[in-house]
Amino acid sequence: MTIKKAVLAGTTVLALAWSAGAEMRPSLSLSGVSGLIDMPSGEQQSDGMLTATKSQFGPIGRTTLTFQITPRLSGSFRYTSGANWNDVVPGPFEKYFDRSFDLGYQLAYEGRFMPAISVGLQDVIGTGLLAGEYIAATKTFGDKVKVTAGLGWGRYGSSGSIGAPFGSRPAVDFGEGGKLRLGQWFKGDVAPFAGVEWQVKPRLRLKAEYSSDAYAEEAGRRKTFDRKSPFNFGVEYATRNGVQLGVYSLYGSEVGVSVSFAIDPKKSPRGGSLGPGPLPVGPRPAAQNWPAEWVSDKGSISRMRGDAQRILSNDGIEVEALSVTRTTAQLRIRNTRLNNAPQAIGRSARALAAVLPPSVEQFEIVPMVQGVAASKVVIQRRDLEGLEFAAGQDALMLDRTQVLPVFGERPDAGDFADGIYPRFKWNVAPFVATSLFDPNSPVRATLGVRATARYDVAPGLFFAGSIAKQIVGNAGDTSRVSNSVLQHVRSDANFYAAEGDPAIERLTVAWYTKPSEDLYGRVTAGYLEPMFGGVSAELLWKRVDRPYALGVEVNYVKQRNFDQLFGFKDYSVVTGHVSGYYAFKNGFHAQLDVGRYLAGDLGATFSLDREFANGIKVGAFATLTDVPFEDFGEGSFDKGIRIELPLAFLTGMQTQKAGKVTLRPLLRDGGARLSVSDRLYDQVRDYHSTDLDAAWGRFWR
Amino acid sequence: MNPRSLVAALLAVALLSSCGSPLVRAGMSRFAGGGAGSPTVAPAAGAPEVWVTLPSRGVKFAMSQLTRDESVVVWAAKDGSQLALRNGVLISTRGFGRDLMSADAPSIPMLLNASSHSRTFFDLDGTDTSIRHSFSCAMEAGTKAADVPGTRHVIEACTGEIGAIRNEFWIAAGGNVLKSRQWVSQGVGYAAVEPKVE
Repeated sequence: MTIKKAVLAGTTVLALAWSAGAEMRPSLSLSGVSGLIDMPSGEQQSDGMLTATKSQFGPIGRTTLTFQITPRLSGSFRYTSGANWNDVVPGPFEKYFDRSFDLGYQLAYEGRFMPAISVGLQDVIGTGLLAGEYIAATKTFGDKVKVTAGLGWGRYGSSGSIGAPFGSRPAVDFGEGGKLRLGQWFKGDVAPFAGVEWQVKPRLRLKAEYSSDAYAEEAGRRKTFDRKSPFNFGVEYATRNGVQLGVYSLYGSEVGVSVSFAIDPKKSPRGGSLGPGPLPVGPRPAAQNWPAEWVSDKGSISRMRGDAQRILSNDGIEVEALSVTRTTAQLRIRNTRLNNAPQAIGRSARALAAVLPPSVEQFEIVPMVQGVAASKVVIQRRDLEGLEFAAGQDALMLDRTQVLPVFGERPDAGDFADGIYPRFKWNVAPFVATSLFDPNSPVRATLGVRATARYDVAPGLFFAGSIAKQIVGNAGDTSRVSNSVLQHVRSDANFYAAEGDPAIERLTVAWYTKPSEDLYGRVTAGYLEPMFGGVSAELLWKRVDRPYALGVEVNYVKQRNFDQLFGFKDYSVVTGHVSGYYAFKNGFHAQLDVGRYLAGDLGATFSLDREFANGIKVGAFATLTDVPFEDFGEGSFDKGIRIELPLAFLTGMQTQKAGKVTLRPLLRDGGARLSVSDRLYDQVRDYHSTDLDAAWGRFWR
Repeated sequence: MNPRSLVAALLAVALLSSCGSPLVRAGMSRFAGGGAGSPTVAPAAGAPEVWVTLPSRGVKFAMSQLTRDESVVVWAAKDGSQLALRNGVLISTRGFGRDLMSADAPSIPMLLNASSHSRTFFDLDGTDTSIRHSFSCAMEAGTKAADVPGTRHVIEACTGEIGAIRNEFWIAAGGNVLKSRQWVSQGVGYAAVEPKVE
């Protein structure tokens, strides 16, 4: 797996710290789920909470990422290590690494008499070594003591069993792993567990528990540690910035430590965006500031455009064109810095109010995306003036604002701003790229320098390129050779990392067009991504006022040489997909792609993301193709989770940069999609009704 | 996972991000491709000034009058953050963190008569969603009129779902609010506004 723009990994962790605050929340276990010490509890985290927990006791280490997917449902992804693995039982590894995925569900919330009750499934799709199920109840007594009791199966039923109510637990041949093991759930021995936590002081918590996990493999068979007692004890401390630290006594023989961080998407670490306030709307300028026939005076309109550009440049908004009639003005903008589309539209409207003669009543803001008009946001000037200081102004303004499709309204040649087309821009910046989960070295990282350039020839037509040079790092050090029986479309990533120095990551010419009101087109040709080059063509149908869209993409690509210069290998493929998109009202976005993948396999990818209006996205995806599980190799099929954290949320700064992480247990060759830049759907939807409505709170910011 | 690499990365980022040095900040914002943005508009030279104090953050800074119409005055700080008062009653902030986006305001006669009224505040949560906070308020006579000679000290005591807030006003005989201490939001706490006298 790779982390793109992994610069932010650290920032993320730090922000986790900022945002959590000191208030009491359901605590996390060493496994990174809501729980006691080594046992889970009946609680769940608050809705949307993203937590990261790292723990170690004796030979056992765990790193867990947990997301509260809905108020009741949570999902966890965990990376586990076991040291001294071959001390007693001979084996190839001294240290064992495993990945696991859990689901937790809140059956009942805590009430006056009712405890909080959760059911959990641990390691539902991994190798099954960590598999266990539980049902747990937690009750708060007073405001300082919580008592938990539960029943566990699998791992959690391995010590102190009281029977097997639902029959024996069948052995499962996990094959290449990665599949659900439905047949085992709640089967086999069941054992009780229990514990108590005591909030001694606002920042200090004591915990004690009775564990029902025998550690049969780790302590019993392999003797990697000595499980002397089922009792565990711990002290946890919440630092001022919200990091949770814990020290524990485990199983009568080991000392454990843990650290956990939390991000609450509903609490920005800085409280909100910190940028400067907007230009006040104020009274309309007097008519006599303009010559009587200003509408036909190119000089007057050019001055208005220049004035608007000067105002908007403070917020990174570029004016592409301004077309004016006596009563209507249409401003075409590029939002290059604000991570909130309504705010960019609000600031554009304020700029128009400041520079246009009083007879202009209607403002049309047209956000441009890659030279193509995404929509037309129509605002009445009197509403802007009337609501500037009104209580509840955002909802009032949204009611009075229209979001319309735009097509065929090309500005006159004289309406365009100077220096917009053609234009050359470049940038040089450091980067950090990491790859995780290599069995030989779980974390690999590269520090380097990346140069990017873009030449805009005309609206929608541009050349773009990106070259990276490594400075230090071990990403390409691996000597592992892929055992994949498919074409190595992705599994040779280590060779690309090792030999691409410097690498031409991308070098393309792209053309974006809008053939009709609701259609968008893209053709990209050249070195499309580090491993493939060729031609990519896409057509998207998306109405501005609908939450769904349909797209088609066809690519003819050839695999690039490891050195990522100009040469190609002799593998080429036609790949492409039909994609359906749907944005649910509650912030969940679903996408289904059906088509042919890079290795020539046929299949479909389903992805579901939860998106917050501030740009935080957490999602999961899975791809099933006609590649048999045994040919795919370890993991059986491609799947993963992805997280996107906007830097603006973490820092309060004006920036569209975001940390994007895709966590895949393994990157194999089946179900691999071309990674072409700037696909249409995510480009245009920011400025369509569904996304604008969700983010509208910042129109007046 | 190699703990050393994780710790090193954490430390590096912690140092970078927590450091208040403007140089580091500038470097960070450049690195991030963004920044705080530059103020679009600056107050005129010689414009009236006020001191604004945010007790929860322990900061005090000057703001200058940016615009004024018959009832609303917008004040701006050097960094571009703004604060708007309607007849002296706080109705919005911009750039304070968890900003007060909009609010209704009682009139001066309402503040001076021992009446009860309702207030509505709108702020933005971390997801940029507008959150409405309703309060019911009662006016109380204050005891600190002597802090600003020639004024009446009144307290607007409000309770709402998020708790109780107390806004204080020092109002001159003509109805001008000369000094106040008013609720902004849960993220900012109170803001005190007083004239900046040379």
